[in-house]
Amino acid sequence: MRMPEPDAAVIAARTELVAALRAIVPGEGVIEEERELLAYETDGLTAYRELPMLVVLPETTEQVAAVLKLCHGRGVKIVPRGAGTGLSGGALPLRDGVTLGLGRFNRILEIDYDNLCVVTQPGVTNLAITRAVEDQGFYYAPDPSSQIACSIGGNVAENSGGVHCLKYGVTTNNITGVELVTMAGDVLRIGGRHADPAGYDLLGVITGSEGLLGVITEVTVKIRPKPECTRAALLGFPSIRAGATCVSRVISEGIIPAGMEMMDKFAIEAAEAFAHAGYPLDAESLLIVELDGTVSEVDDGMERVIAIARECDATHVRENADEAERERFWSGRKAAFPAMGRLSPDYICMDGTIPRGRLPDVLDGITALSRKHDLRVANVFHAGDGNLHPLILYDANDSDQLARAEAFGADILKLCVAEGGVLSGEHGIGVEKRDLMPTMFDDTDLKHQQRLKCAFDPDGLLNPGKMFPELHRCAELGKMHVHHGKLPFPDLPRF
Amino acid sequence: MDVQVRPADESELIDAIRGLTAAGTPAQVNGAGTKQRFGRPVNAAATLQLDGLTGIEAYAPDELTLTCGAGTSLATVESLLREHDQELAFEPPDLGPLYGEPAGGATIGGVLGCNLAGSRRVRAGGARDHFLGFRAVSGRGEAFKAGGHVVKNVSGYDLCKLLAGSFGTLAALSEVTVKVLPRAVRTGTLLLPGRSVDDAVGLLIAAWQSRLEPSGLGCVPPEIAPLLPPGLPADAGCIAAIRFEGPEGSVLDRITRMRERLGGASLQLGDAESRAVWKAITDAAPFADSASVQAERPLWRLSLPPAAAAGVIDRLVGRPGGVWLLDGGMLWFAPTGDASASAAVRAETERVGGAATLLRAPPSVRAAEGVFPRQSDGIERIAAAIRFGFDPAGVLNPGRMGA
Repeated sequence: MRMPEPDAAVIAARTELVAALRAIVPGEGVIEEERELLAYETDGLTAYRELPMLVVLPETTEQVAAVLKLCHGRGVKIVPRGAGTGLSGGALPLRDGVTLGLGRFNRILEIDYDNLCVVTQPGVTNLAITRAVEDQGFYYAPDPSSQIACSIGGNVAENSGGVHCLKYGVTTNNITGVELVTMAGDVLRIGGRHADPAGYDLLGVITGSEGLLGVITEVTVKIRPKPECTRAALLGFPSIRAGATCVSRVISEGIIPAGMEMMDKFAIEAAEAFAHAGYPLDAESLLIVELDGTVSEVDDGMERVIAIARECDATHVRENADEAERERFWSGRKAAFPAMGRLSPDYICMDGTIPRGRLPDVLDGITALSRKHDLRVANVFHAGDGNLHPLILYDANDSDQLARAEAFGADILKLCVAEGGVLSGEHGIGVEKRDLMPTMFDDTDLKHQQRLKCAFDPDGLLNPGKMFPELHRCAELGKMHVHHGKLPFPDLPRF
Repeated sequence: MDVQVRPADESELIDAIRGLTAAGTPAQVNGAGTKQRFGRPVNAAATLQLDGLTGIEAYAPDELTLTCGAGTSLATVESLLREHDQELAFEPPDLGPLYGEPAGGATIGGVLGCNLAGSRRVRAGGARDHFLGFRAVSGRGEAFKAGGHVVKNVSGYDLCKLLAGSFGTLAALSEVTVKVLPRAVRTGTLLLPGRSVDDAVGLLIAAWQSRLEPSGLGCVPPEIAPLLPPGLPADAGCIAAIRFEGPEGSVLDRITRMRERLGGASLQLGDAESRAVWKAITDAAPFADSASVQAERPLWRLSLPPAAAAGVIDRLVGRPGGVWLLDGGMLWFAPTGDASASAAVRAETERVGGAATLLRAPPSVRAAEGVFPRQSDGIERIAAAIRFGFDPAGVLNPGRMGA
């Protein structure tokens, strides 16, 4: 993976930097020993590794601000890191960079039931927020599959989704405020406990900015009352097309399921062998449709979903009889990744989103690409929102297979874009899809995105090498290109 | 001399903005112009009118997305969606009548540019949450796009959020993609009259915390009730109004259960009455009387932590005094008389960590006192840098959001 050229002068001044950082973060908060740095060499995208120059683990916003100000003054690059579970390499270290870990920001600061929000430090895990409020009947809705480990700060940085985001939205729709420290060390409090504060929506642009705009030191998330009733149906179909038609019909009849997951035959077989979830092995595609809400609404909706499924030639229809069975339905889907781990030494998970109606054709395309690259692929998707997760199986010890897997993944994402979709639905661009950004955005698009970056971090010191294949200099981006040519409104007054 | 430029497509829009930058002429940027008096007055000799950029580009109901020209009228979009039993779930308000503009004149781009949502905000999120992608021309005279045509996307910065609520100060939208959702079959409202402000807000919070999924939480004081569509009781106290939407049986079931849960005297509104009342609340219709419109009588829109609303109402009614209407976490407040009472309103809002916007006032007041809440210096610096990045010559709505 091509990364920004390391700055030899910064590396040469490492010892001095350690001393200066120790003055800010005492004790074990500054890590310089190689064997300890190894723990930070990769994130959830393990195909890429790099040893960070240093790791710093501050405990307070003041320390974060002082560290950033120090590094800003010395021209030292910063790589922010939450729990390190990201799947796009957003926390991949830099050889001349300081990895700034937020793991010590691990406290929930306030639970405000009257305003249905929780104020928390960024290192708290996604699931811990729900755990803190569930005894009162509330929960935090976005539920990435890594929710037991991933941090809420990382969720904000990546704008994480999950199984339930068709109905409840992704991270950006479920937070109302952050405290953010800029690369220059300014502490900004953005938003609060209210909706739609006036002014530019900086909260909205920070969410999903992959650590390129600032370091998040506090988050205010919305919580919701737990639905009164949750029910799921397991539906098997004789073809991908029949399953996809069922998904579209459910939505066009006005039902928005809490979750609607689809798996192809290979994924069904692998998950069933691993988890024994009771999946029908004769089905070409499988749907889990989950509805939540009040009892009467769920009863009504489920009846309609089952009727639609039968009209779409479902060969297997099973509603959960009890909570244990509902969990069993999900156990197979949730085991899809480890199940692949048993079939293959390595796999990579892609993350494109497509208009749902293109699903059968895109799957045909993925099958053809699988033959072309001679690698197996299993498909699981968040079918409700068209977010695909093809899992490409390969062996990382075989460098030819790694190269083929990368090329296969890139081809899948190009196919998604060509079909009117996007590169990433919920995992982020990071380093993984960075070089594919030009397939989706032209140079003018990318320059406008980078002008936002320039407003926060004009020196490009925060997480460089991520999201953009090339970071333009802000001075260059700021120049106004004078467009010569005809002036179509010659009667405009001139000042 | 005021020059009006009304491009018919994106290439004319590019030419128009290049013309403005070449001439150094700032422009007031509008959709149809129904909310052009929302914001600080723009000192511009030209008007860039975007309501010529019309047309539905793509609409596939089962994809839950719609793409159209940014100048397409909201009424056109909404009637098309309605044919397919869908809607814009953020319930865009029609604020034109507050400024004396005809009802139903707004464009979809204007609603997104002002980031306006209605009573369903408490349940469905704001306009920003339903804005999936766009094409636009920045103040550099360059066309660019962001987001996508699908409901779930994290490819690159979320510039939709940046443009939502940017009041045309960064770029002129030419095409937008929005999320659309099924329209509820039935609407019903539980009314709990005769309450103090404190009690009413407490009931609304309890309703919000319940599992019964209300989609509107209003508090209507006695002086406002007669100004809303018929159906509301005339009463000495405030009315807590709780809306439910969904299949018919579910709406009736939830109203019954909520009534049992909250107790006390209550009434119900059926489907048609409910829709009329919530439309009026969403549009702040009680403040659109002709005397207020003509005098541009000051009207504030306060975004508050919902539980703080009762305290803010109590203090504002004490001083400076005025008329109010609560819609979820959003408080409409018209101070008594013609004074904007700016200092008091801003102070009370800031005290609870909210944001106060002076939605309507005479131009001299908007110019002198500002419209939007003041941000911290750090945020102002970043906002200025963003503005420079997108519109370095300052030709798009300069000053509309502040200095």
